[in-house]
Amino acid sequence: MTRYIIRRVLVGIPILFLVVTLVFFAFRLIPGDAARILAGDEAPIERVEQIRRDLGLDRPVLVQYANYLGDLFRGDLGTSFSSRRPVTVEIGSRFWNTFSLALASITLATILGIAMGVISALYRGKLADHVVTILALLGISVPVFWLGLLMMQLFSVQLGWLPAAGYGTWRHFVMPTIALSVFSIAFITRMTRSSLLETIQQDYVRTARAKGVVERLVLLLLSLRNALLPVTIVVGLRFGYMVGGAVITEEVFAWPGLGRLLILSVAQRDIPLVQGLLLVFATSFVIVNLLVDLLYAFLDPRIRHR
Amino acid sequence: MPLLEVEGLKTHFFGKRSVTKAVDGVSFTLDHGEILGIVGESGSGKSVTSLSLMRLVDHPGRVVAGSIRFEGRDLLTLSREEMRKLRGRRMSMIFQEPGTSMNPVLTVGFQIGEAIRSHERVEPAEVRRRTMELMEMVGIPDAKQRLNQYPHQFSGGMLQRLMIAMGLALSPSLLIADEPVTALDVTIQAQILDLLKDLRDTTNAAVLLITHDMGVVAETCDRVVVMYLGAIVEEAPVETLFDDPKHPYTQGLLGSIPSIEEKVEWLQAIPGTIPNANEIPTGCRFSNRCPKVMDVCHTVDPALEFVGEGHRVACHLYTETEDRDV
Repeated sequence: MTRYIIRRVLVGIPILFLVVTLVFFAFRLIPGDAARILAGDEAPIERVEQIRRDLGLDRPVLVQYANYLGDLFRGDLGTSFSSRRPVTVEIGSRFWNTFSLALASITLATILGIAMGVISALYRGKLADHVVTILALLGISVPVFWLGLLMMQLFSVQLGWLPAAGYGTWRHFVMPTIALSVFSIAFITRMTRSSLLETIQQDYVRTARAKGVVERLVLLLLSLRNALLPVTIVVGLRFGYMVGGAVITEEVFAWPGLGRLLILSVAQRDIPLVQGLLLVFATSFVIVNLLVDLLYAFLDPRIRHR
Repeated sequence: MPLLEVEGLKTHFFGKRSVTKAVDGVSFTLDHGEILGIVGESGSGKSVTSLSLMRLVDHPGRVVAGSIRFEGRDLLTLSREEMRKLRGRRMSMIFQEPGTSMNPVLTVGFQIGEAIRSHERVEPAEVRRRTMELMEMVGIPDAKQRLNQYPHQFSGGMLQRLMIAMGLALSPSLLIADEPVTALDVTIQAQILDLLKDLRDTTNAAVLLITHDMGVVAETCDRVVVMYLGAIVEEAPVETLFDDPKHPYTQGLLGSIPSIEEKVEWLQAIPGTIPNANEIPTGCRFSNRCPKVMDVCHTVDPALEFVGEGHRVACHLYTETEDRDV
């Protein structure tokens, strides 16, 4: 088991290296001049050149890359072009906002998704199954920004129950959490349903029935453990996306998280900040995947003993 | 009174357009401590018969007629809960693929103990002790350690032993074994069959052995029922069946086994393949493949009639001529 963990951790390192390298060079290829943007359209060419030298953008690309990697190893992600503050500080001050929203959303999605999936499988072909299936279909299809606007219109403007945007109390969490989790709820619901229906047809479930194990509930609980194996993967992947990809939700609800920071920094060609953000997203994805793998190994002994 | 008395059992599967008569009027009895073999090709309805006895036939299949008297009670009239209480306690079942018949994410100890816990309120330590005893009974060494292992850590033969231990956990009076050795190596097959016979001798449980393998039948069974397309075509004590098979189908089954003593040019096989169960021929169900087919076979379905001591056969070759004069 320990060897398994070590191997999984080691696999993550080259992935992160690849991400850092790709992002670095990709930014040298896209159009847009950071120095020009910072200086402003009216600034004289000398001023622009001055800024370019200050930022180190006048040096050869490979030298910049080497310097960047060296800084990275010392835990220095560089300084934001626009705010002049360290990237680590910029990201650190907002990370928790995004992470807490993602955590709330994935918790909601997992609980609701599994519950609805179980109901759907239990009442297969009956009314409850059809209702859940239609809801899931809606949840997968509805665009986040549209749902967000609808909720704002209803709960903030019409009813006045919840703040329309911003960050602060638990009330601020309600709408962004729902918006961010709707797709995942639907996805996990469908996944749980099909996985459970497949598991129930397995030979070992028939064996359990032949043993006289109490039907329905216990049977469901016993097979649920097997059925949830593929669901854990989906939950992990969705959580990874939420940490890195809550861009639209954060933008709609003016949530001061990493997603909004990303949009801002890309618009300003704030290269160090964008690089830092993407590195954080990639790292959280790798970590989440590692956790999922470990959980999977914990749930399925066949993997543990490999 | 026999332990098990099956009378006119019919299990049909209801498709969108057609009805498949997988089991179509099967009657037989089974005594305490007896090993009865049910043989037939795949599609003959032998597995569905065994699942019907356990009332484990899934939708769209349903037992539509007949009675199953087991220990004096008609199983088909019991409630679901009453039936559950019988399963695993008075009658249990083991399956063809031991590898997929056990839950891969639970320890074998848990799964054997589950049979006990489902029917009795017992302390965990007691469940553990009894599970270990059962594992030793079916010949698994180091039961204490192996209790906590998972199915993938056992060989196929060991898993089938565990399945048997699970089936016998509460000393049932009937053990249904559906192709218990088909998925195993030949040497392992013999060990498992010996184990079944030994356990029959010690526990006096009756065994209903479903198989397509005449070798397994010869080695293990006291009595045999031959099934074809959902019905019994012949029934006899095992020696009688091998010495003097009456039904052309049984003769075909036995003729297709190569013999060591006689050197034959051609292995005699039954012509054609078993039809689908929703295309049963009219008259005798074997008429379209039978080498000795007569006119009457196409119109009249022969009844199962005695031709000797405990020997019944459903074939017009052995019925009195009075039918044919008409």
